[in-house]
Amino acid sequence: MATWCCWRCRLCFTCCSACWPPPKLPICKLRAACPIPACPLGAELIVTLTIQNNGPALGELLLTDALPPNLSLTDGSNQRLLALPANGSHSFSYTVQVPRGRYAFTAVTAVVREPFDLRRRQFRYDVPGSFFAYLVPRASNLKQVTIHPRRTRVYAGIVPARVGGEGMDFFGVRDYRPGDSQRQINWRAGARHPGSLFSNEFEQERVADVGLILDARTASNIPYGDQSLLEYSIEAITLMVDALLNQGNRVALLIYGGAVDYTLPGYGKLQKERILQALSGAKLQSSHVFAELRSLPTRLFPAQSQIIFVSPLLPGDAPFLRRLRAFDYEVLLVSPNPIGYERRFLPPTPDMALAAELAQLERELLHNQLLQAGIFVLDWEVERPFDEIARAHLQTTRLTRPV
Amino acid sequence: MWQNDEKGGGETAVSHPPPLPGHLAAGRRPALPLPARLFRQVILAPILSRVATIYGIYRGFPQNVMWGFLLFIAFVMALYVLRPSPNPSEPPFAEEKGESRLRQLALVTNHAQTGQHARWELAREMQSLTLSLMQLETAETPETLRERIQLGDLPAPPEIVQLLDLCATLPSYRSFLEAREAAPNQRIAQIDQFDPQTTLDALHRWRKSNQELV
Repeated sequence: MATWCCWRCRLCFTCCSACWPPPKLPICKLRAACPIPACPLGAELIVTLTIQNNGPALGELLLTDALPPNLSLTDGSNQRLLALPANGSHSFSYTVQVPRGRYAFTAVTAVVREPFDLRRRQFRYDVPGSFFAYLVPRASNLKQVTIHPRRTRVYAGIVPARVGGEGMDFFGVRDYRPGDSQRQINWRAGARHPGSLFSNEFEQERVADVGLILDARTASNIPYGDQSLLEYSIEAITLMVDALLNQGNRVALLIYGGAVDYTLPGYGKLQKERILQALSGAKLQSSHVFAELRSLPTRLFPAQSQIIFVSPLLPGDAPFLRRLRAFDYEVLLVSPNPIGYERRFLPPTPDMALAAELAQLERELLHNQLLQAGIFVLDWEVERPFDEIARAHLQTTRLTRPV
Repeated sequence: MWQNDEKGGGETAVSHPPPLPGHLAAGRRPALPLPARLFRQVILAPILSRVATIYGIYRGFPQNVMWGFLLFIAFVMALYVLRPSPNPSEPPFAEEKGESRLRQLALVTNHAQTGQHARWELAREMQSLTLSLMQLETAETPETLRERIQLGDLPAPPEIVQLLDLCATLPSYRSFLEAREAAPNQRIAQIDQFDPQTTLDALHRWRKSNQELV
């Protein structure tokens, strides 16, 4: 695994007395703070702290570098007890494991103690520094996500545009117009209507607007310790973003939870980076305002565009998804199954089996109700890899074509 | 006092302290030691003079004014004590983590093994689910479904019929309470006869047969 180094900070102590008068406030100067801006998910980060004493000797100095939550120490310690001679300096390092997310180092605490611990003073130095651990999408076989929005953009792509013209799939027959090539003429239709000529039309293929919505609500993602279904949802979106952007579509991302975190729509690799950065910072959120999907800002997405909603789904979410359909959006629901996921954490008793059967029936009912509303549902058992499920269901036009 | 020297005939001065009663009789006060004098002059005298001044001021005010002032002080102190203040030890508001649907159902099924109320609640959950599934597959309202099942128009397994009967007999919590109060120390037979696992199996069978028909 690659090791990433970062100079956490360089501190300068000046005029700190270790004699009988109480320790004075050491003047701290941040000489260099260059934490790396980003590192890959799961990398080990080496944090180096350098202190320089510009004052008299310090008999006992305890330094503590405050660790951001969720970072776990793998080597060394973020605390160091040392004696610093006058004008001396010291460096120490520790290694942390970095899960996905944004992190900010805030402060270094220094406790200066005098001999025999007669007096002590604590100082806090703000040493700001932030970085984020970004997602590295794994190689996937998911090359295409088949979508059928009612409205497409003007540029050529591979999404059927429901408009006749140049394309691959047969769309219809129209009257012959001067300029049509002979290959387009439908001779059979012309033979049935003497004196008239007809031309075949093909369905144009264009790029489309796709809005991805990630459900980051705590209630729906069932957190157990530091695990939750959000990680699976993020994995699914990462793989789908890759396929959708490679198809040339314009993709936007909305993270729905405690606030609305929106990534503006865009094309290409740059947009993929933007979305991955937004996903890297996604975390579970709780809010009374966003507890339901009522506050979903639908106006962020162009009318009649494709919406891909990635959520384990709560029982009360169905009416709001139906409302999206009523607004003429094409909705595709990718739903990591919470029942199989949660059973891993619960004791396997007969009661639990009965409860799981009931919950599964309720979930099937919910999915059937959504299917009736014209929403395609991909139920994902998270034990299986997403691309395997997606290749079987999202690459076929039969299932995702609207009714 | 002078005494004659017997040998030399000269005079030698010998001093004797005068007796205390003699001093008192002469009206002379004994000299106080230094600490006592210091205490009297430095501490006691200023305090007593200030007390006398304050007493003079106090006597100078009418009694009703003094009482009014004291009551005002008490009122201010009461207001100060009763003032609303944020409690720093109070934890900040945090939304309670809700239980997932699976855990809710697991709790009910666990309690349903022994408790009649939990079993009745489970029956209601299952009835709602059964009717919703039937409604989805037959496209009829729950009332029509009940009628058709009762009339035998819609073939349903006996376990489901029994479930619907139970929920029709005890449709609300009030009716459940009334049934329990009617026979206080006895269990409700209809609820005891309801077996969740058998009913669920019957529901699976019904769905399967219905899908085969479609």
